[in-house]
Amino acid sequence: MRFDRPLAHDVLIERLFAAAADGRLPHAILFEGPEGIGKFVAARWLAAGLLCERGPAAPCGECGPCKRVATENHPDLLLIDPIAEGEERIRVGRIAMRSDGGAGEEPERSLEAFLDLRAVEGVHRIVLIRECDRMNDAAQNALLKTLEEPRPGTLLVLETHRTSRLLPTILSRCIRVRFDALSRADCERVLKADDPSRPAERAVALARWADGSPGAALAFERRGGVVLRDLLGQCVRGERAPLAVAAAFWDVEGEFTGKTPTARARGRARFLVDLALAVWRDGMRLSSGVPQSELAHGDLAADVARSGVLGAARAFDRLTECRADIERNLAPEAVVERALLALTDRGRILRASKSGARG
Amino acid sequence: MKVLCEREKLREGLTVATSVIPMKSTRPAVENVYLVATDDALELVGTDLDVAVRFRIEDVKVEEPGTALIPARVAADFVRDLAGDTVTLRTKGDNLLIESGDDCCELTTIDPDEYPVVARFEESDSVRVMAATLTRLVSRTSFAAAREAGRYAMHGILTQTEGDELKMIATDGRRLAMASAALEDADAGSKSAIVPTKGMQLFCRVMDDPTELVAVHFGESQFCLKTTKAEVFARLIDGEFPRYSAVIPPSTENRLEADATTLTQKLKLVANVTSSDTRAVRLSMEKGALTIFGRSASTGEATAHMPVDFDGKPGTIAFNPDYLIDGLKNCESDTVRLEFNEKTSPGKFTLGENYVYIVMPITIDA
Amino acid sequence: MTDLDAHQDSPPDRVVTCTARIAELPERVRNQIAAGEVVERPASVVKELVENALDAGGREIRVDLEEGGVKLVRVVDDGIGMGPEDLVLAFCPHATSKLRDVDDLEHIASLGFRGEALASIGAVSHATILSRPADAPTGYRIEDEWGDVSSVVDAGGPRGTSIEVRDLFLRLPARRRFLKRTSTELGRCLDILQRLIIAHEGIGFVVTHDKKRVLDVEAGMDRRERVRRLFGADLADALEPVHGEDGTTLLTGLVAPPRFGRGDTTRQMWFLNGRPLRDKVLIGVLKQAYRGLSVEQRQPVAFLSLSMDPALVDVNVSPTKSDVRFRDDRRLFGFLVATIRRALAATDMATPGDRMLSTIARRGAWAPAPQQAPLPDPGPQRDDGSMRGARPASNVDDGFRVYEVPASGESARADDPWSKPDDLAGPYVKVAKTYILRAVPDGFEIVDQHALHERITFEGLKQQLAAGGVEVQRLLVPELVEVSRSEGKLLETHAAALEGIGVFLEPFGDTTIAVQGVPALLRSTDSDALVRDLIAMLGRIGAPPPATELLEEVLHSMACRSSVMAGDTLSDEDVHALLRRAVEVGGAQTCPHGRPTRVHFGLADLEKAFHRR
Repeated sequence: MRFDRPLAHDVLIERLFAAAADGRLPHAILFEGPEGIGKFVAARWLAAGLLCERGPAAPCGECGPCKRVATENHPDLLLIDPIAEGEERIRVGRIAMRSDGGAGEEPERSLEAFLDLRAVEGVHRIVLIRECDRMNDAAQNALLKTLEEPRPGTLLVLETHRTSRLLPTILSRCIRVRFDALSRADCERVLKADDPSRPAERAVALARWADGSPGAALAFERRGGVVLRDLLGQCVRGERAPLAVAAAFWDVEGEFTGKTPTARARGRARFLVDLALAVWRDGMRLSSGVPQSELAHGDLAADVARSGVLGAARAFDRLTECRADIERNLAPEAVVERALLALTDRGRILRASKSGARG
Repeated sequence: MKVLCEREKLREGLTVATSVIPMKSTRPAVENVYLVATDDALELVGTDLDVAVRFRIEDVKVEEPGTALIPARVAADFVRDLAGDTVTLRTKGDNLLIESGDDCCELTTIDPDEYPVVARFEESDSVRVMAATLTRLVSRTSFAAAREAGRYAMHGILTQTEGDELKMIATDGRRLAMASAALEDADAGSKSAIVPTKGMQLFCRVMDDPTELVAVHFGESQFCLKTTKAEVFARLIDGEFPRYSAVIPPSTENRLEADATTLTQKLKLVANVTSSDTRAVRLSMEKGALTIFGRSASTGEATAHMPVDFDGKPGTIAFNPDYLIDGLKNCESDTVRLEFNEKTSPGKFTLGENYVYIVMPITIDA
Repeated sequence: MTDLDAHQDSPPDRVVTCTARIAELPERVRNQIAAGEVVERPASVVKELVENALDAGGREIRVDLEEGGVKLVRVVDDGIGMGPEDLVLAFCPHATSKLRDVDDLEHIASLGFRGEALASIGAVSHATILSRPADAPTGYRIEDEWGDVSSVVDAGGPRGTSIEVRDLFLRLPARRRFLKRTSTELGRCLDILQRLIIAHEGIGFVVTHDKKRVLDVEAGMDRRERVRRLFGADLADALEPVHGEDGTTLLTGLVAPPRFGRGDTTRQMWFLNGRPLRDKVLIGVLKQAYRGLSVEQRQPVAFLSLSMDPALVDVNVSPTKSDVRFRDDRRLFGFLVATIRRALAATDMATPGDRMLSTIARRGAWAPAPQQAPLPDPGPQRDDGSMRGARPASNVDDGFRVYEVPASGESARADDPWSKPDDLAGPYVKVAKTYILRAVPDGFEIVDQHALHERITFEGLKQQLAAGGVEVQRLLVPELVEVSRSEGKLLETHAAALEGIGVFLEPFGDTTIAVQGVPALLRSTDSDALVRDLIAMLGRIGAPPPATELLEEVLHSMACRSSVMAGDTLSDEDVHALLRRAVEVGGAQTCPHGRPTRVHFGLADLEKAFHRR
C-alpha cells in the first residue's frame, strides 16, 4: 500500500490532525460522501500521520513508521480492503473470530484478534475498513461489539459511499465526517497528478463528466466511457441509427467487473443507461433554466432539451424502466437496444412534429 | 555491517529466532530475521508480532556495526548446513554475505525500517525470579486457560505480583487454576498483566536452565523476560479478566480429603462409560466413603468406591471428569482436598501448597 | 392530439399510414425488441411452441432441433389445428385465443397468456406455420420472415399443426452474439422440454437434435416412468410419492432422498396447474423441507405438481411468467413444507458417500459401494489385547507403514456374521487436519471429523433430553450479553423452555442477559453467538410456545457451533474415542446440517478403480 497526500479535503484533514493532537479524536470515525473522491486516500493519510514519528500531523514519509505503513508492514495498522482483496463482501470472519469457518482454512487474522492484543510499537492501533458497507449484517453486528467497548488507543476509520447500508447502531456509535465532491478544478488537478501523460483536454472533459469525483472519472475512462459517450452522442443527435449504435456499443473496449460474461454485459448496459439518464437529467435541467456551463453533459443536454419537456420526460421514463430491467436480470443486450430506441423515439417525435404529421 | 562469529552460536540464535517467525504473514517484513551488530555483540531478532525474541551473541568480533533484514528461513538453513567453525556476516551493497571458509551465500536485504520496532528489556522496575518457579507456575495454570472461541481475555494467564509473591491465574469460564510462589525480590510492588498462553509457553521454552535467575518486566503493552542469552516479549491481552475472586468460596460446609492417585484412577474408570452422551460423574460422599457414579443412556453405568475423609453433610455433587483429571495430573501432594457448599456452587480443590483449582459443577435439571 | 398521444395510440398496423418511411422500420424493430423479453434464446421458442401444441390438444408432440435450436426449432402436434382465419391472426401481437378479457386474468388455468409469442418469434426469425384442422380437406400455410407476414395459402399436410422457426436472430448480429455454444443452447432446450415432459402425463414426446433422437417418452407413461426414462433408474426407484390436500389445494408428485441433491436446479420441478414454473417461494419450500437433511448448497431433487384455484394465484407478475404470486402464501408454505417433509421421512436417507463416489465414478468406471451399516460395538478385545485392527505388515522407515487388508477371497463384509468386528482402531491418516482416513475390514473409510463430531454432540443432547434432563455446566462467572429490550422479553418468555434444554439465562438489568449455565456436552460456547441464535430462532417461531421441534432446532445450532473445528489436530486417542462414540449414538452418517460424516470405499470399489474387475 502506498499512501498519497490527498489532493483535496485539506480543511477536514487538518481538523482531524488537530483533534488528534489535542487527544480529542474519537475512537470510531465514519468517512462518508460520494464515491471516488478520495475518502480512503484520506483515511490512509490520517493513519500514517497518527503513526508517524512526527505525528499527529501530515506524515513525513521518511521515518520508520511511515515506511512501514507504505509497505504494509506496520504491525499496528490493520487494513480491511475488499477492493484490493477482490472480495464482493466483507465476511464476518474478517471482523470476529468464528469457528464455523470452511475446512482447512487458516483462521484469518480478524479485526477482533488484532485488537485483542495491545499495540506493538506505540499506543495507537488503527483499523481502516474500505467500503465498510460491504459488511453483511453478521459482520456489522460483530463490529458492533468492538464499537461498544472501545479500548484506549484504538481508532477505527470506516469508509463508505453507501451510508444507508449500515446498521443504525453502527452509525450511532461513529462520529460521521462528511466528505464533499471536489470542485471541477480540484478534480482536474487530481486527474493530472494521476497520469501526467493524459491530454489536458481529456482531463478537463473527464472532470466535467464525473461531477467532482476523480475516482468516478478514472472508472469512466477505464470502462471506455469516452468512446461510449461519443456513441451515445451520435445516437442522441440522430447521426447514426440506434441499432447500429447498439451493435457498435458491445465492441468498445472497456473494463467491467463480474464473474460471468452476462454479469459483465449487465454492468456495461447499466453503465450506458446510467450515462443516458445523466444526460437526460441535464437536458431537463437545461430546459428549466440551469446554465449550460454548469452541467456535466451540457453539450448533449442541448439536443435533449430541444425535444421539449414532454418528449424528454417520456424518454426519461423509458430509460428508468430500462434501468429497472437490468436489475430484473432481463437480457442486457435487449435492454441496450430498448434504451437506445427510447432515445430515437424522442427523435422521431421531434422530426414528426417538425413535418407536422399527425397520427 | 561486518561481524565474525562462531557458527554454532549463530546457528543456535537463528534457530531460536526462527522458531517464532511465521512462514507467511500479511506483513511480509516479519518473515525476515533482523540482525543488529552493536559494538560488542550480534543480536538476532524475530517476531510474529504476538511474541518477539531478541537473541544475543556476545563473543563476536564486530568490525563494522550495522543492521540488516534478511529472509529468516534461508539464512537459518544455510548456516545450519555450513561446515566451517566461524562465519562472517557482511553487507555488500543491498545484499548480505554469509561466508564460511570457501562457502558463501548472498542474500537480498530489505530496508530495516520496514521491520517493526522490537522493544529492549527495561532493567529498571524489573522483577527477579527463579526460572524453575516461572515454569512451574505456568504449567500449574495454563491447562485451565481457554483455547477456543469466547472471551479473548481468557486465552491468557493473569500474572500478578503482590509484595514478594508471583501469582498466576487461568480460567476458561468453567474451571480456574490459581498458583503462587515466592519471588527473589523482597517487595516487587503490585503489578498485573494478562499474558497470552502462547507467549508464556515460549518463555518456558527459552529458559533452558531451571536454576537461572531471570528478570521479568511488566511493560505497558508487553510482558518481558530476560535471560542471559535472550530477551523475550509477549504482547499483552487488552481486555478484562473475569472477576474470579468472588468464586473462590471463603468458607465451606463440606470437606473431603482423598488419595490423589486413587481418586484419579477411579475417575478414569467411571469416565469410561460417560463420554458419549453424558459428561457428568457424580461424587456421593458420606462419612469415610466416596462413591463415584456415571451413567450414559447408550452405554450403561459404572460405580466405584473409595475410602476418604469426609466432614460435612452427606450429599452428591457432579463434575466433568475430564476437568478433575486435568487438575489431578498436576496435583503435587499425595492427598487432594475438595471443599464445597452445595451441588450448584463451585468445588474448590487444593492440589498443593499455594495451588487452588476451582471447578464448576454440572447440574441435571430433570 | 399531441405528438405524444399520436405515438402512444397508434396501433402497430396503422403506423404505416403516417409518414411511412420513418414509421415502418421502427415498427418492425419494435417487435424485434419486444421479442427480446419473450424470446431470449432457442429454449424460449421451444417453450412457446410446445405450450401452443399442448393447448391445441396434441397427444403426440414431436420436437426437432438443429444446432441447439438456433438453426431450427420445429414442433409438430396432432391437435385440433388452425383454419385460415386463425392463421391470419397467428402472427399478430395480442392475438391470443386464450385471453379474451381482463376477467380472464383471474382464471389463468390454461398454460399461459402468450399474446405476443408468435409475433415476437416471427420478428426475429423465419417462421412458418403449417396447419390442418381435423375437419378440413386441406392444410394451410403462413410465413413470417423477419416481420414480413405472408398471406395464407393452401398446402397439403397431416392433421394438426407444425410450426417451424429457422435461423433465430440471424439478421440481428447484436442479439446473436449472446447465444452460447450449441451444447449450452441445446442443454437449455432440453431442460425446458424435460420439465414439459414430466408435467404432461398422457402426452407422448419425441425430441430429436440434428436428426438424432434425444428424448422419447410414450403417452402412457406415468411420472415415475418419465423420470426413469429421462434421468435413470437410480433416481426413479428412490423417489417417494407426495400427496397432500388443503382445501381446494392439492400437492402431488415425487421427491428424491437428500443424497440426490445437485449443484443446480435442473431436477427441481414445480408445476402449477400443469404449467412448469420457477418460483422463489416454491424453491424456498423445498429448501425448508430439506433443511437439516441435505447440505445447504445442494439443491434437492423433486417433481411436484400443485393444483389450486386459479383465483388464489396471480400469474401476471413478470414478463417471463416464471414468478407467480400466491394470495395466501404463508398458509400455503406451511402446508407444502409439512407435506413434503412427511414424504421425505419415508425416503432412504443414508448412503452419504454416494455422491462423492459418483463424481469419482465419472472419471473412472466404478459405481458407488453400498453404504456400510453402523459398525457393531467392538465387544471384548481380541486375545492379543491390541487395539490395532489392520495388522502392520512391515515397517518402512520414516514412519511410512504398510497395512494389510484382507484380500477379496477372505473378504470380511460388515454383514457377514463371522467377520471380525471392526474395532475402530488406527492407524489413522489425518488429512488437512480435517479428514481421517483409516482401514476397515473390507476397505477403507474417510471420516470428516467436524461433521462427525457435530452429529455426535447433537445425538447426545437429544438422548439426554429424552432421558429426562440435560446436564448443565455451571459457569464460573456469568457471561454477559447485550440485547435489546424486546429481545430480553422474548428470552424471558421462553426461559422455562430454554432451561429445559440446559440454557440458563438470567436478566441482568434491562438490556443485559447473564448466561449462567450451558449444556455440558458443548465443549465451549460463544455465549454471545448462542444468545443471538436463540433470539433469532425464537423470533422466527413466534407466538406458539416452542415444542420439542424448537428444542431440536436450538440443539442443532448449538451442536454445530461448539463442535471440533475442522483444523483441530486430534490425537489418535481422540480419534478412536470419536469413532467409538459414533457407533454408540448410531446413525451418525450425516452431520445435523446434512453433510456426510464418512465415506466408505469397499474392496470392490478399489478393484474396479484399478480395473481388476
